[in-house]
Amino acid sequence: MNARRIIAPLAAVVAIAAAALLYTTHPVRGSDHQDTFNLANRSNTSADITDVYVFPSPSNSANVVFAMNVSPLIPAGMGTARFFDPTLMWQFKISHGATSPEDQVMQFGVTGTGATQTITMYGPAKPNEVGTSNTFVPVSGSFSYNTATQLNNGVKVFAGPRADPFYFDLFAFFTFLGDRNWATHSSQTDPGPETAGPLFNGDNVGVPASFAPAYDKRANPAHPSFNGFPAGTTAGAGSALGNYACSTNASMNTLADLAGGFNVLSFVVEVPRSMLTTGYTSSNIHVWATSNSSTGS
Amino acid sequence: MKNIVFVLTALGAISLGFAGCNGASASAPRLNTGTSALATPQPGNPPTSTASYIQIELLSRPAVKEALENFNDHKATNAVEPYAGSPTDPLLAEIKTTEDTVRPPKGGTDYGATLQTILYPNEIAVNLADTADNASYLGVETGGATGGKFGGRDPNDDVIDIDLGALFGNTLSKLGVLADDGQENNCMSVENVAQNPTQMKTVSFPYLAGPH
Repeated sequence: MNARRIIAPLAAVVAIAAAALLYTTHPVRGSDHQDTFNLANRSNTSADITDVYVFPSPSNSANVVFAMNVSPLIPAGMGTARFFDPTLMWQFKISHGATSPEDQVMQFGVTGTGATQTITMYGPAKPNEVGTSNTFVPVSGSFSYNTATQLNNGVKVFAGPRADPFYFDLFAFFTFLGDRNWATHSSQTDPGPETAGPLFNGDNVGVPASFAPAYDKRANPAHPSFNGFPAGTTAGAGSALGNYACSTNASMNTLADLAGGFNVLSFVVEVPRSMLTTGYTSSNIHVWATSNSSTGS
Repeated sequence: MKNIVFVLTALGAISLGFAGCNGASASAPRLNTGTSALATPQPGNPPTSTASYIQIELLSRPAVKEALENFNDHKATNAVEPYAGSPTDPLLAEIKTTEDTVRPPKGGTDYGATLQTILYPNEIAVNLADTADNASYLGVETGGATGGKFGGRDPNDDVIDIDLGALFGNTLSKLGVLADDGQENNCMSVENVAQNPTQMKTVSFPYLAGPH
């Protein structure tokens, strides 16, 4: 995350009486959640997938839960003011057995805008097409934004704001892989700062000094480290980057500890395991998520 | 640092207060927390688009692209299948080249090449036949060493430390996947961050904690 991008607009907002109003129209930008320059800069960022989860249902062992989080870095208090892009398709893609092309999909589409959006789930079903250009499979049912719903086929669905469960010291990461900070790129084609030096070079690109390890690039050019290590901890005698002191700076759970925490928009679907195994020869599955647009951009 | 956090926290509080006065935000969450309280579906469905939708984003295992693939190559990986392989998908080659930067092959032990076989295709493995275990990231790939054989990914999993241990620590040698090359980097093999209680999985659907 580029703290400069956060702090500058926010400080300005604090300085004027209409702080919150401006904040709603100039949201925070930055993070490794923001996967490309273009995804980070869409007017609606719900194409940007932050995390994918698959876990047994805590309330019914016969079921399994899939969750896909999108729209990174929604500020605290703003969750219910962010909505899905109705021009997109989101998919959980599933392959059975050894890794192979997908043979089952669950898809979501959205109609309308604002808090009255309707979300429609399609599948689980065999995909109409394998690969990166896809059409909707048969519909399972429709439900309202931010409303936990049970569809007629027994599938539970939810699409709306949730706290981002991901925990990571993003600023520490950017001190040695500043390339991953989208704000260090000027366009989708700009190769960014890693072309100027080796990876893991402790470059602190886009990271203010107050968030950077004390031994930053200006003093020691090749000492990557996360924060929070006890004094005296070193990289280790065998480290290919040398044996150096690890950072004792305090670590930060960036998405929860900063600015009251950040939110995402979530698609959550709980399905009977049997829907994913009946008709297939293996109960071993491989899962990934995609967002698709009608234009490919 | 304290000043920055103070300002951001204060602003968060301001925006939270404002949210209650905003037309869109005034719509209180209609989340039902109990199974018995789940809403019923809408009586009809909107017309389904017959258009083809083209993939613009792809995600599966956490932090694989972020840690191992140059940012500018994400756009190529996002537009292909996770099993496309080289040269279509730059991720496969970059898993090794990036790992080699901090852990070059040594004494016949090649962590970069081994990680290619573990992390690619970039898909989350799940064993649906396992009804005894909770989810545990890389549980299938490690035979349950990360907490169970269901695999998948739990919202509470410390996926970063699991990934860092494999990339920069001695996780793989402890599992017997390959020999200890003695090149562990302690400063990068853990991140020393715990999940905040406000982020943790809940007991009722949809299981993800309510927004901040």
